[in-house]
Amino acid sequence: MHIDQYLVHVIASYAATVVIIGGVVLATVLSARRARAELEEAERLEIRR
Amino acid sequence: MSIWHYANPANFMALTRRVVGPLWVLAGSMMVGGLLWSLSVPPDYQQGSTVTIMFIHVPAALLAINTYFLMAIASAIGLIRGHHVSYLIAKAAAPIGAAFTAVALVTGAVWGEPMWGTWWVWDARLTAVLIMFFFYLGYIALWAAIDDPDKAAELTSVLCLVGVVFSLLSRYAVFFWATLHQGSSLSLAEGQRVADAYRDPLYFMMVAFYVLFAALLLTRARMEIRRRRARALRARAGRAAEALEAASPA
Repeated sequence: MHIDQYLVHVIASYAATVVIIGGVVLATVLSARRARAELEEAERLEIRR
Repeated sequence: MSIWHYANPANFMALTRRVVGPLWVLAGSMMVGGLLWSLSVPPDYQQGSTVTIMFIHVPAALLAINTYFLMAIASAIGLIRGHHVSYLIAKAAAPIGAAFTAVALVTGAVWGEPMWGTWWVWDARLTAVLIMFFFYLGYIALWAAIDDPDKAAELTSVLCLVGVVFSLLSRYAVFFWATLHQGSSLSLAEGQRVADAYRDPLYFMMVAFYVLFAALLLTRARMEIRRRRARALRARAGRAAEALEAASPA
């Protein structure tokens, strides 16, 4: 990576991208797990009924 | 087999189950590889190292606009044909599109400060993208605000279709008005406008962003289908319990 007076701008751009995209990925993975658990619970109740 | 075969939630889940895992592996590898590649290019003779911001700004902006188009198409199909999977795909795409729009806006501002001398200007393209971002947020908020999922699906679809004008403006504003924002970096009609050293990593990052988008979209769509199924099962259990209570002697 080339280092010049714009280094802060480049680091800020990449850091912001990692935070925003990483946040969406993390939220998606956690929500998907919760939805799977909710469905399994609902299906267990349905079978028991 | 017709494409509408996959509008059935069970068929959609069966198809995507085999695809999601490999997509995540591919997306992660390509994103890491692409980021390392994009940071290793030589500096531009005018822009210096800020040229590397292009490798995230351009793919993010492209996906911000194209995700909205996809949502609009899915919403229109949902309204016309009444497929729940279409509505749920639009719903699943909204947070992803909002995130890519946020990336495009933030990286654009950070790139604009040293190159244009300002973080922000009320330029036609920038303003259209900002309004599109608000449409994304409004769409997500409207889904969250309405309890009845069928009514929420219809109202959010109408909102999404209204916002299409801003996604079109986001893409074509640079052709209609003399804006501070430059024209397209990549154009089939006008040939290559990016130096060879930057073209290949840019194309690679665009593909990486699309693969990541596909992995996120399929995961979120499967999640929405599961949530809908769980809600339906709980509602059925609730109705059965009420019927049992009403039938039992006091």
